Order: sequence, then C-alpha cells, then structure tokens
Amino acid sequence: MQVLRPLFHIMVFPGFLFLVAFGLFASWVDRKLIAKFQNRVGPPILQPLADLIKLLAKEDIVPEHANRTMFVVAPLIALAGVIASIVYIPVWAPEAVESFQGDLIVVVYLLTLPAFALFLGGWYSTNPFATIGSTRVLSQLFGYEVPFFLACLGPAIAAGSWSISDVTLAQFGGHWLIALAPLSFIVAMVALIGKLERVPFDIPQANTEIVSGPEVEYTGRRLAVWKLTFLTETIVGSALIAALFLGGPDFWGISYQAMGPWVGGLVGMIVLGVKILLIVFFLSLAQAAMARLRIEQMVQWCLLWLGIPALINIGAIAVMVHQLGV
Amino acid sequence: MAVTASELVERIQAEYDGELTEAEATSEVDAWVGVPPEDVRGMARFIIDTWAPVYLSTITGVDTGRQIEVLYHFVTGGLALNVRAAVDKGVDEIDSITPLVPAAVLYEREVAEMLGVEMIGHPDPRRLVLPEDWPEGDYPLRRDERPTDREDEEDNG
Amino acid sequence: MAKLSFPVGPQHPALKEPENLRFSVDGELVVDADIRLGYVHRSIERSCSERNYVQDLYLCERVCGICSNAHTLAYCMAVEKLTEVEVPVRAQYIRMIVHEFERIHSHLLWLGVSGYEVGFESLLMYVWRDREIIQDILEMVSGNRGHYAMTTLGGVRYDITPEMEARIREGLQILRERAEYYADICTTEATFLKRVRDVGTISGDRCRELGAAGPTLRASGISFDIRTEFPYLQYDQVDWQVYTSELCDVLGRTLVRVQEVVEACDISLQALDQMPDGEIQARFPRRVPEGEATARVEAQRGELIYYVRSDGSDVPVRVKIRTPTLANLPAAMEMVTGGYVADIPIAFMSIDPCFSCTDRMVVLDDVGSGESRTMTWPELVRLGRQQ
Repeated sequence: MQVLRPLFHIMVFPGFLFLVAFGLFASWVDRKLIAKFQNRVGPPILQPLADLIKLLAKEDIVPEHANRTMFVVAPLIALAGVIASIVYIPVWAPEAVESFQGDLIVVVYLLTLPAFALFLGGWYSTNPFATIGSTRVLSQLFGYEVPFFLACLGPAIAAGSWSISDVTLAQFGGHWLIALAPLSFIVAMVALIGKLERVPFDIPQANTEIVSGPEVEYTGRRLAVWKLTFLTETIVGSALIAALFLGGPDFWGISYQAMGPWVGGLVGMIVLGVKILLIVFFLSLAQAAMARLRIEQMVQWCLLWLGIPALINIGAIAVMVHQLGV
Repeated sequence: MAVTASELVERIQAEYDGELTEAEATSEVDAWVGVPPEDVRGMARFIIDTWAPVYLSTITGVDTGRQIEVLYHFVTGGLALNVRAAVDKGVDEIDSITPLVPAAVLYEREVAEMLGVEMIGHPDPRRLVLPEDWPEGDYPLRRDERPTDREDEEDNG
Repeated sequence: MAKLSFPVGPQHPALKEPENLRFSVDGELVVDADIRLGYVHRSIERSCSERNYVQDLYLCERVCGICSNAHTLAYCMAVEKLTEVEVPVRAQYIRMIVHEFERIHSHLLWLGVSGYEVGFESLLMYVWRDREIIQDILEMVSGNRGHYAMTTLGGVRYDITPEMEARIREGLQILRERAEYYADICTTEATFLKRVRDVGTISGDRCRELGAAGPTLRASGISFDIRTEFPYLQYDQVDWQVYTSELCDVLGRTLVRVQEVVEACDISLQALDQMPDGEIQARFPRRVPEGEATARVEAQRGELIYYVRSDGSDVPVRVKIRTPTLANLPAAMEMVTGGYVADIPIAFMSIDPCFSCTDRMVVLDDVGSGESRTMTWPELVRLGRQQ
C-alpha cells in the first residue's frame, strides 16, 4: 500500500485524473466566458471533453524528417512536469501531499518544463513554422520567467519559508499575502498568461502568423497531450498563485479540522476551485480584451513592467519583514 | 476640370516628336493615342515627364488576328489616356516600360504570359500566374488554335 | 541562424484564399518576399469572349464574392458606353446605394479579419455581428446576401420601395454609430495599436510609383478616388469627401476604411433623399456596336478597371479585368519586406487582398505531390468522375 499511495496521488488525486477533469471544466468556463464577452453563445459543457476524445481518435503522424524520439517524448515530459508539481501544492488543506523546504523552487522549475519541451518538440519537427515558433517559445520564456520567479519570491520572503505548504499555512485565518504583495500578485498573473501562451502572449502559437507554431506537426493523441498539458497547467499555475497569494483553500479562517477530514477537505477544495476559476476569469477577460503582441514588444514590456514592480515589491516586503517584523 | 481629353490629345500631337498612328478623344475624359511598338518607351517617358504624377491603371493585351495590341491605360488629372501599340504576330516583343513606370511590373508579366509578347528589359520576367510546367508557346488568351484545343473537344459532351 | 524559407499559403489561416507567398526569413525579420499567383484561376477573361454580353454579366458578377457588385457595375458601365444607352437617373441612384452598401459590408469584413490577424478576436466577433445589419439590408433589397445581381445592362433589377427605405435608414444610423465606435476602439486599444502603428509603412510617393490603389493609396496621404477623379453614377450630386490619412501604416489604412464606412452611410442616406421617381431599367440592344471602352469604378479595395472591345456582334472580342488587388500587390510586398514575421499577416492583409478576383485562368496546381502540373480538361473530367 505504501507504494500505491504516491501513485494514487500522481495518477488520480490530486494528480492526473483530477487535473484533467477540473481542467476540462475550467476550459469550458473559459470558453463560455470568452463567448459571452464576444457576444456569442459558446460551447456546451461537455465540448472540451468531446474535443479531447476526438483528438485521441485521430490519426497520429510523425513527420518524415523529424527526430522521432524527441518529437514523441517532448509532450510526455511536458505533461509529466505539470502533473508532478501538483503534489507540492495544497489542494484541500494547508498541507500539500508532499512538502519540504525548497519545494517552491522545484514547482517553479517543473512548470517551465512545458516551455522547454515545446521548444524541443517544435524544433525537432523541422517545420519552418515550428522552428520560428520554437525560438519564440524560448524568447518568451526569458520575458515572463524572471518576473514570475521574482513574484513567487515575495510571499516566500514574507512567510519566511521556501515551502509552499508553509506559505499557505501562514496565510490561514485570512492573512492573505496579496495584501502584502499586491504588485507581485499582478506580476504573477500576467506572467501566467505568458506561461500558458494565451492572448496577448500567445506569440509562440500565433495562429494567423505561424499556424500554432511548435505544435503545427503534432496530430492525434500527441496533440491531445499538448492540449492536456496546457489545460492542466492552467489549473496548476492558478493553484500555485492561489496558494502563494490568496491563502490556498483558506476561507477567512474557517477551521476545516472542525468539519472532519472529508467534509473539511471537500469545502477546502471547493474554495480553492472558486479561486482558480476567478483566475481563469481574469485570463478570459485578458483574452477577450486584447490583441497579440509581437515577440520583441513582449519581452521588452515584460522585463520593464513586470520585472521592476516585482523587484520593488520584494524590496518592500524585505524591509517590512526585517524592520517591522510583520 | 480645366483640361479635356481633346486638349490632351492636341497637346500630345503638338509636343510629342515621335510618330503617332492615331490620336483621338472619344469622350470628355477618354483619349486614345497610338504609337509604333518600338516607340512605347519614348511615349511613356513623354507622358510621365509632361503630366507627372501619372497613374498606370493596367496594361491590356488584345489578340486582333494578325497583331497583338498592347494597351496602356494611364490616368492623369481626371483624364484617361490610353496608349495603343500593335505588335505583329511573329515579332512578339515590345520594350518593357517597367524601368520607367514601376507599376507596370505585374501587368507586363501578365500580358507576356497570357499573350506571348516578350517584354524586353523587364527586370523580373518570370511566370506569375501560369504553372512552371505550362507548355512554352501556349498562350491562353491568343485566339489562334492552341495545341491543347483539340484534346479539349473530346470529352466535353 | 541561417535564412529560412517561410511559406505562407496556399493554405494558411491568415489567408482567406489560396495563394502562395514565399518569404526569406532571418530570425524574426523578413528579408525577401515573392508571390506566386494562379491557384484560383477560372478562365473568366477567356470565357467572356466566348459568351454573349448578357451571359458575361453573370460571369463578371462571379469574379469575386465580396466585390461582385463593383464588377457588374464596371462591366455594365463599359458596355453602356459602347452602346450609348442612357441609364435612368433612379437606376443610377440605386446602383450607387448598392455600391456603397457593398463598400460598407466589405470594409467591416476587412476590419474584423484584421482584428483576427493580430489575435484580437473580440473585434472580429463584434464587427461581424454588426455587419449582419448591412447583410440583412442587402438581402432585403436584392434577395441575396452575396452576388446581389442588382446591376444589369441598362439599369438595375429591383427597385427600392418606401418600406425598404425606412428600414435602410434605420440600419444605416446604427451602422454609422458603430463605425464611429470602432474608429474609437482602433485608436485607443493599446495592444491593437502596438500591432498596427508603424507597421507595413509605405510612403505616398512610393505607393503612387507602384500603382497602388484605393484605401492603400489614400492611407499614405494621396487623395485619389475614382469617384471624384472620374465621377460616375451620381457621385457629383451628393455631398461627401475623400478621406485620407498621413500615417502611411496599417493604422492609417484601418482608419481610412472605417471612415469610409461612415462616409458610405452618409452617401447612401443622401442618395435615398435625392432619388427621383422613374424607370429603373432602359431597353438594351442585343448587339453592341463596334468599338472599345474602358470603365473604372472605385471598388472597396481600390480602382477596378474593365476594358471591353466589341466587333459589332453579340459576343465581345475581349473583356479585360484589372482588379485592385493586382495593383496593390507590389506595394504589399514592399510593406512586408524588412518587417517582422509577426507582421506579415496584418501588413499583407492591410491591402485587403482578394485573390479570386486576381486569378482568372484555369490551372490546377497539384501542391501535395511537390510538383505542379497542368490538367487537361478530359483529365479533370475523369478525375471528377472517379471521386
């Protein structure tokens, strides 16, 4: 049984199955919201699932000139990275499934895996669109990754711990760190858009320019794995931001322990789910209200308008923690 | 509008020093002049020197039987100035005006492809619309019998 | 990084129609651009000289789905010039109204697509929703949403009744307000501005040299419009002005088009006021006297010119069509070269290219096999029967 426990956590809950199920639902919410913003009807609730099943049933092609190994392995690495990181993020209680000092850094790096895998998969598919898209993936990574990391640093310094679970625990009772690190929160949200390659930062995919970029040669179930990667990354990324800034499953200090392990866990999950959906709402709003930037505009803008505010906020937190002992 | 098409024609007759095969104003705004094919570039130079800015609308090629007429449709100050140059079949070449009028670049390629009039001095005489392996010497808009015509007949019914 | 050959088309999400553009790309910069036409050639010019004048009317209507009315209008004007048929004044007003309606619907279509090109999907959705207003009006007037078949030799087919008039006025008022709203959006939305300002720039002089037409030319500060240059229909009877922009970039082209939508609403409203009662169609002879004529109209994409030559029979000797897209292509290639890869779609789309108009000859290109070949008619028939 001891062997099965981690497997259960990674494959069923809060790992693969849970993430995919919730990801499909969030994807429906996202699509429905955008549709409403754009004055359309939007898809029915099972549409994302139907799309996924359709992709799984489609023919799977590996390009003749592609490096087969890299091409096949890349999407799996990306998905594995995302799913592994949920283990360290609190989902139903302030404690995650696993935690140790420094898991924050592990999660941040696990979440960059999709970008690197996307670069490799696109690059080794040898398609000109994919090649351009792949270089854009890396350029964009430089744009959002540094501010994202700096933004995550803020709460860690404030809570005095490198463990996500500790940071969340420190916020229980309504002391959400968004109050202390508002700039970092905004920076993290915007950087998340870049991570998820959504408008206005969908530059590597840029449908009308480079025909979905690195993914252009992927078909069938391998494309489905890519879609799943971004689907689950939406949830994991949002959960991470919720854990760092919005107190994770906390709802102004309601004691989940008093409710017992099952009810308390369920309420905690619902609270976190609502927070994640709020973040998704923000993502949808950005998608509906903006146009896609150019890569060099994006990198420049991100380093200036995300990097500097994140640094300022860290400085402010450091001063507060040391001088005032907040 | 001060100038009419007939005044335009008169001015060409007075100032242009080459040979004119026709010169006529068919309406208030339409002027038609004709030049021998070898003088086309001279005429184009005269027009742009006299009435700049001149706008070239298009170049038309017409198969009239023994000749291919190349028509240059210019616009200048609310007037349509059409220049006609008739190329004998068998000669099948005319000076390109693209070096003088960059706007002609695609129009000349189209005429060359569709009617088989070689544009001498054209900077980029590649094919534009027909595929690379379209047979040489088969020009879609010529009215002579074409090599592919007979095949076409067979299965049409 | 080595130079990369970067194809756009024949199938590409940025192009509505099949066309092949080849770009040499150095990193994110475009160093060279080349175009290959001919994927949608349908032999229209040749077919025109094998059908009679009335049949040609239907053929010309189908040169393009977006500017179909401009094509029939130019064709009819050329043939009417040859036959010296006087078109009734009411018919001229109705022609003008439909001509402007078509401009409205085409410009709105373009505006939506240009939003889509830069990833601004909401603009597409909103603009195309409002475009339904003009589509409904066109359907009410002509019975069709595309290929209106309004213009016919000697006049127009359908009259605009007073009941229609009321609904048209109502629709145009809404459209006018919406167009002004979109002009506002296009000049204030920061991310959209970042993608259109100083993108695809070309100077007015260079535009003129390369023979660019329509909004492309006007957005580079040159006031050239066939409607004022060669006043046709009743354009000299209504009060309107040619809108130009000095910006020379995609933003300029966007603003010119949006402003032209407003202007087109005003022209149509004035035309409705001024329209006299009377006939809408003149008798038209079967045979056309010998001669030749050109006719120009300001289609929504720029100057459209028809050349028609008659030998006195009921079949024209030659019908030559020059569509505005062909005139704008050299300018478009210049706009794209030297810019960013990301700007290819929006810069190229800023001339509002329409390739179905530009190609007109039967050629089948077998792209999949990597080699192009020509199919003869019997081969094509056989292929058609197999499938």
